[in-house]
Amino acid sequence: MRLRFLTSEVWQGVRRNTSMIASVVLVSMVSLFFVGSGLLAQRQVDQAKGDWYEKVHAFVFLCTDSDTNVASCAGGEASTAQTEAVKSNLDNLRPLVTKVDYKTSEQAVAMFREQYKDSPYVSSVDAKSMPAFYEVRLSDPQRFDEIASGFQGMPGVAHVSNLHQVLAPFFSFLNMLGVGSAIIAGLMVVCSILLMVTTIRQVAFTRRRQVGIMRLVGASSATIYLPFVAEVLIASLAGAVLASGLLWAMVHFGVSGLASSGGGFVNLIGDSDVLVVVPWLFLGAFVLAVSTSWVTLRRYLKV
Amino acid sequence: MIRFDDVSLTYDKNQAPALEHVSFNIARGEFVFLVGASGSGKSSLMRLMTHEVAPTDGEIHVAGRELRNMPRRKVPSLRRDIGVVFQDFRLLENKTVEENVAFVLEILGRRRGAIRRAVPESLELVGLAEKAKRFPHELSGGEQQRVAIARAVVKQPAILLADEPTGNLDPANSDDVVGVLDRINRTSTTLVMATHDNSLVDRLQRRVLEMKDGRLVRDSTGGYRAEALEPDLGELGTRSAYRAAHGSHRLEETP
Repeated sequence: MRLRFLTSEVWQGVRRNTSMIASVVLVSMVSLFFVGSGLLAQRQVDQAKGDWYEKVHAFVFLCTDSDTNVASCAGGEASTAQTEAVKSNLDNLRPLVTKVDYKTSEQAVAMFREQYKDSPYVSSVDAKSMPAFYEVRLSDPQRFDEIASGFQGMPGVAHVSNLHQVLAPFFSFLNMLGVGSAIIAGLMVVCSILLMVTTIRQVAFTRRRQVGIMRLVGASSATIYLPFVAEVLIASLAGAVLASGLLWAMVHFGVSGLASSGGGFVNLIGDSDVLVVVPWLFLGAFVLAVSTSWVTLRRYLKV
Repeated sequence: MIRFDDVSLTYDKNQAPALEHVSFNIARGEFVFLVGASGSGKSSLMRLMTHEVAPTDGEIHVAGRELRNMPRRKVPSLRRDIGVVFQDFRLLENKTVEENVAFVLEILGRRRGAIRRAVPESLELVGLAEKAKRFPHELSGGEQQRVAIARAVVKQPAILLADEPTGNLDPANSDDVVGVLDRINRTSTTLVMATHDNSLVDRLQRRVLEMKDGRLVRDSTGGYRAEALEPDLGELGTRSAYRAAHGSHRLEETP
């Protein structure tokens, strides 16, 4: 079968079965959208983990005047000697401690204001309420307890935070989002397969005379299957185009909007991440359409 | 061109066989009528020839191929050597006459130039060149059947199988269709035509294979009732002398 004839047959088939083709387009779009959402959620988790875990693993917050309820802050704001003692102890823990950065209260306030510049609470934060702290990077983040036990209760130290503990709920939420998307995507892919099978069977039934003629004149199986496969493939790829558009809109207007509203303390995914995910959606649509239609035709269309 | 050796066919083991111990040989260029009542096995014979079904027993050779053990991938190649015409025409209603005929060559991957040459020739052969742009519903039954014949022969098959091609036609259109088939046969195409129309069989006086209850009960040259068409026996002497001269004989039913 020549390409010109195949194109014409497929075009006629698409015109004659518009409603069925439209249903395959829509179901493919929804299923691929969820597949894409799952992939993007996973990228967000990886990106956030990468951002934070590479920068810092733990914080050692020093006392402020307002930490009067903490025993180790009985003397008020951490003195210079206490601050240097903490630094010295951290240095003693090398090579577990690989990097130590000290941030003064003023620097901490500046960082907060930069990060949450659109937040209405920015004006209420000043250097007195913001503690100075050490950012500590560990060679093995799992050994955080050694830092916690060594510094919690040390004079001048208000508390020690494990970044893993702080971010764990956020990452679990993103992971749940990814798993939820994967489950919905899985269900929708099953729906897509069932719909494709039904569509192909119906189209094959409406074209039984044409198929019968093709069979009797000596067309090969591939020649008989090709127009059906091509129609389903076109519908699936159209679904992939629409799903990609929806994902881009979601990220461009939704996620980016979230970032610009000051809600993010991690770098959020952007348009470039959608571009990374989209080829996988098209590959998925291709594999799904070709394998489903080929298996269905082999099973239900006598050649 | 077509040889059946002791062929039997059973569709369902709980039912009587559709064909039992059928043997015959059709030479290249022959015109053979396949007659018999409905359910006698005519269509089963044709389905075996196109390998739509495989025989339960026996051997079948068609166009130089042994069909019983033919792998599935080689079936299309067999069918390219066979044209098939049906009682109900089976034209594609959304295509014009010439598109219906070209459809066969298109799916066989022929070049556009070859299709442009072959389709008018084929329509000319069946006398429908001037109706190439019509749609099937604009044609009479006889014309539609002639389109179906043009479609069957456009790929120049070695064998043409016609399954009750005049079954839906009035006598005048039947004559037209049989005339076309006769012309095609004269181009050395082997032609097997299943029919209930005894008058056609009598008029053309070609070889007749008669089926009854899945068995071949007669293989003779002449009409539907060979005896009635035999010439004045006085001219040839005896009936047996006529049969010796023409090779006509009635088969006894085998148990």
